[in-house]
Formats: sequence, structure tokens, C-alpha cells
Amino acid sequence: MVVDDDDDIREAIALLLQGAGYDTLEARSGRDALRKLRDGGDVAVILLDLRMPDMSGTDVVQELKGDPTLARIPVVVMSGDNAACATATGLGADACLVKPFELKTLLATAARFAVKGWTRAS
Amino acid sequence: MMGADSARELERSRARLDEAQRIAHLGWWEWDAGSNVVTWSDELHRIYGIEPGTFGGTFEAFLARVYPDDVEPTRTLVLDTIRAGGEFTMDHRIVRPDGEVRMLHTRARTQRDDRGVSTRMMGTCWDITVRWRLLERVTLLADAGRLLASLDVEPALAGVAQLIVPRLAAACAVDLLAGGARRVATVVTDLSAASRLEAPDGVLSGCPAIWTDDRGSHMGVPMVARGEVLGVILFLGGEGRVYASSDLELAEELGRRAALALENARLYRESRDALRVREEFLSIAAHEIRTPVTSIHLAVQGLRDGDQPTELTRKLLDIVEREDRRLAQLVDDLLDLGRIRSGHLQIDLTRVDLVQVAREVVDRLAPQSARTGSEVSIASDARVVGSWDRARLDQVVSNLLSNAIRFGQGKPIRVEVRAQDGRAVLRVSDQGMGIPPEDQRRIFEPFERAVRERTFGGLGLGLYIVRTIVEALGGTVHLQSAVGAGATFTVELPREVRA
Repeated sequence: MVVDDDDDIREAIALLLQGAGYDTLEARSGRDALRKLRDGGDVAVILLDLRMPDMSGTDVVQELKGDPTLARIPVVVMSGDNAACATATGLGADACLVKPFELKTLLATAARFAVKGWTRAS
Repeated sequence: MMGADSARELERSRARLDEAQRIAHLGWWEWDAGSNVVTWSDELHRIYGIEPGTFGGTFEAFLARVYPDDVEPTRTLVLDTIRAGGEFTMDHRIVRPDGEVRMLHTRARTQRDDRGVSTRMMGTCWDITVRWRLLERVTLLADAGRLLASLDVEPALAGVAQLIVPRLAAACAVDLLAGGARRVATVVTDLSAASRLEAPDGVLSGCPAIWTDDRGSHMGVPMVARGEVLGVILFLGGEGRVYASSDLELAEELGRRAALALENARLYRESRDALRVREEFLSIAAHEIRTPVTSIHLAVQGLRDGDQPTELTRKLLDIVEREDRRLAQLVDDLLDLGRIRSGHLQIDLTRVDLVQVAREVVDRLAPQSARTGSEVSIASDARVVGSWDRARLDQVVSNLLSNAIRFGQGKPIRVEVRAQDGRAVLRVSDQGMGIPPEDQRRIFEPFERAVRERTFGGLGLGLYIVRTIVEALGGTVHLQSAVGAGATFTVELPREVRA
């Protein structure tokens, strides 16, 4: 799952992951992401931008890790600054991508947590 | 019996003595202890502000004219001296019939008879009021100045009001006008005296004033800085005090100093706020720019790695990718500059292997060095580990290596990382155009120091940031270079950074 309020970057990341063989699910806000996850969306990893209006990335991390049904899903946060990354890791995020990051870094991170061609359980 | 000549001689001698005393404003007195008769010279009468011959002639009559707070110490000193014999010197205040307070400097000596019993005391008094007032004024201004040196202005103003009462006033109030008039300090000797101290309109508009009403003599002075009235200080003279222009001058001087302190505190606050606002803005701006740069970056890399792009397409994509890297670097430099300026360069210390960082940077900059033809070699110890900030070290190595590539004229570049005497040493050498001696110190300064050719590309901040980071880690950076003979930058870092 890719969560970012910026449409272009969300789409770019999703397209590139798809090109590499992964299935993706997109959400344009924290609330949107949580709703989709609770509606039965089953994901291998959540890529989450930290700086979003309305509900911030760190709030989303807290809510995910506080919800027993969602806490097991690895969360990779994306941010422009190291300090925010450190805060998110402290709250339970599993990894951090510091913008701007390389394509190969993105793909390596995806490979750590997800399997190509994996589809949602029905 | 005295002859006529002797009598005249005596008369002349007395006249000279009187004249001398009058010129010096020196009064003379004598106290016959046995009969408690006190005799004063005419000059002493004048000092006390009374007609010659009208002094009561007893010790008590003298004490009655002494300033109330000084009566006890004076009485004690005189009685102790007359009992023990000997001399004394004392300064005490007196009150003239018109209420004016004067300061006298008194010296006296006891005379004893053959049996050692004190019989008489003789003394002189010198009116030192002018000098005393001057000293008081200077002391008051010095004390006030010390208090007002603080950036915490309101307590300082309250302290100044404490100095003013009772030395200069029976009641004092300090009002500030910014953001609605409010009273920040009130000091009174007597609670009934001053609750209604009000600033007249004239003072509020910036004109110092003395005025009298049914409660007595008042002064008001504005505190003015840069043409703006920041507040006022109000004085109530109290019992027996009538303000004169010399008092107003003193009050005005206090007002000026207080205004300066207020202005300083305000400027300090404003500049701190401005810095904070700028820091926040830079931080947001940096993030905002990094996101689109990431999008471009990923898209370009995706295109390049994708289905067989043509040669032209690949080259154009390379250009786009390089440019967005430069953009990201510029943003980072700007953000760092903002942080360095406001003193907030972030350093996160962890165990870092400098050799590993150097290798990563060399790899990352391989495309750039390939393009200019410079062959980059690394010579190092197996590991050089220390307690440093990984990202900052990366910045240092990157800046030095990218400079070497840019100015290396395609010739080989050498990167060396060693441990030496408990320190880590990083050396980046190129064999390119070199740096003239007159520029060698300047290039480590930020752009406003008029760096010339070294500024092509970038904001001219790279070496300034290198120096700042190295110094923040407790290290040093040196340059060895000559025109046409390349340049070697040497960075030495302690293995542990002392916080």
C-alpha cells in the first residue's frame, strides 16, 4: 500500500512497483488508508509519507501499531528529514526512506517486505 | 590688661579667621561638656540656614536640627567620643528651617583636663552637599545601569524603582505603553502616598516635566527610544522635597537608560522570533521541494531502466537525473546554511566507519568522475571507526570529492582514509587547476565573501559547510595547493566527539 497525499509521487511509486512485478493499493490520506485496511485490504507492507495534511504520518503509525489487527503489517515511512524518521521509528515504523531516494533503494526496500506477484487474499 | 595695639591685633586676627571660614564655608563650634553650652561661629549659623545668634546653644538644640535618620548615630558617636576622649570624623545630614537637606562633614577633637576628664569638644563642619549630591547621582546611575543591563527588563525596571525610593522620591511608578498602558512597578515609602500617581499628557507625548499638586512636588519623564515613547517614570517627592531642574536632569538620564534597555530587549526578542520563523519556513520549504524532486527522480530512473530507450533518450534522461540531484543538493545546502546561521546544525552521533562512507561516496559519484575522465582511487586502513554523524560525514566526503572531480581536469584523484595517533585522517587530492594562495582562506567562507571561480555551479557553500561540520565534530580541515599543481584537502577528526 502506498499512502501519500501528493498524487504524482504516489502514482510514480505505484507504477514503478507495478513495473517491478508487485501489486499495489493506493490511499491519498491517513484516513483513507485506515479505512481501506479495515475494509479487508490485506497488504504486505505500507509505504507511508510522514508529512500529510489532516492526519499526519506519525499519527497513522501510532494508530496502526495500536490496532492489534493491523499492528503486524510492516510500515516503511518516507520523509524529507532525518528527525521525523527517527520519531516514526521510535513509534514502531520498520524502516525509513529519506527523500529524495533512488529507484533501486525503493525496490530493495519493497523486496525486503513483499513478494512479487502476491495478490490479495479474497 | 591688654593694650590698645594688642586689642586691635586680636580684633584683626578674629576678623581674618571669620573671613577664612566664610570663604571656605567652614563652620566652627565648641561644646563645654560640663555646662552643656554649645557655641557656634557665624558661618556655622549660615550653614544651618539660621540667623547668627539664634542657635539654641545646647547639645539638644544641635540634635534637633540633624536629619531624623542621622540623629541616633550622631548622638552615639559624639557621646562615645566625649566619654573616651579623642577625635571623630563624621558625615551627617541636617535640615534647614526651609526644609532643605544639606550634608555636613564634621571633625572634632576632645580636650581633657589634668585629671583626664573631658572638658571640651571643638569641631569644624564643612558643607559638602554639592559633592554629596553629585556622588549620589553617579552612584544611582551606575546602580541603575547595572540593573538595566539585563534583557529581562521588567524586573530590572522594578529594581530601578527600588533604587529611586527613598533616595530620589517618596514614591515611584513605572508605566509601559506597548500593547496597552500598564504599570510594571510601584514603590512607595508610605502606602497612602502614591496610588494615584498619574502621567500627565505632556509626559506621555515625550516631554519631561516637574509639577506640584496638593500631594507635593512631582516629576515625570518619558522613556524614549527611536522617537517612540515606550513608557514613563513618575516620581513623587514627598515630605519636604521640592524637585529642581538638577533632579529632573537625573530623572531624564534614568529614563534614557531605561528606554535603551527596553529597546534592546525588544530587538533581541524580535530577532529571535524572526530566526525561528525563518527556520520553520526553510524546513517546510525543503520538504516541499524534496517531494517533487523525488517524483522526478524515480520517474527518470524508471524510464532509463525500462524498455530499451534510444541513445538520445538515455542521454536526455541522464541530464534530467543529474539536474534534479543538483536541485536536491541546492535545497540541502540552503537548509544547512539556515541552520548554521541560527546555530542549529543537527548532529546525530553513532558509530560510523569512515572508510565505508568514503567508498559509498566514491561509488555514488562514479558517473560524474567517469564523465570527466578522472580516475578515483581509494587508499585506506581496513576500518576507521569513530563516533560521528554518518550523514554529515557523507556530506563532507561528497563535497570534497565532487570539487576534486569538477576542478581535477580529468587527472587522477586520490582519496585516503587512515587512523593516525588516535585521530581519523581523510585526504582528497586532485591534480587539477589548483587554488591560488590569496583564495585559499576565502573559499571556506560562505558566498558573501566574494568567492570567484570556485563558485561555478552550486551556491558556493560546499566548503563552508564542510568546515562547519568538521569543526562541529571537533576536527580541522586544511588545504595544500598551488596554481596548476592540484589541491589536497586534509580533514582530521577526533574519534570521539566531546559534546
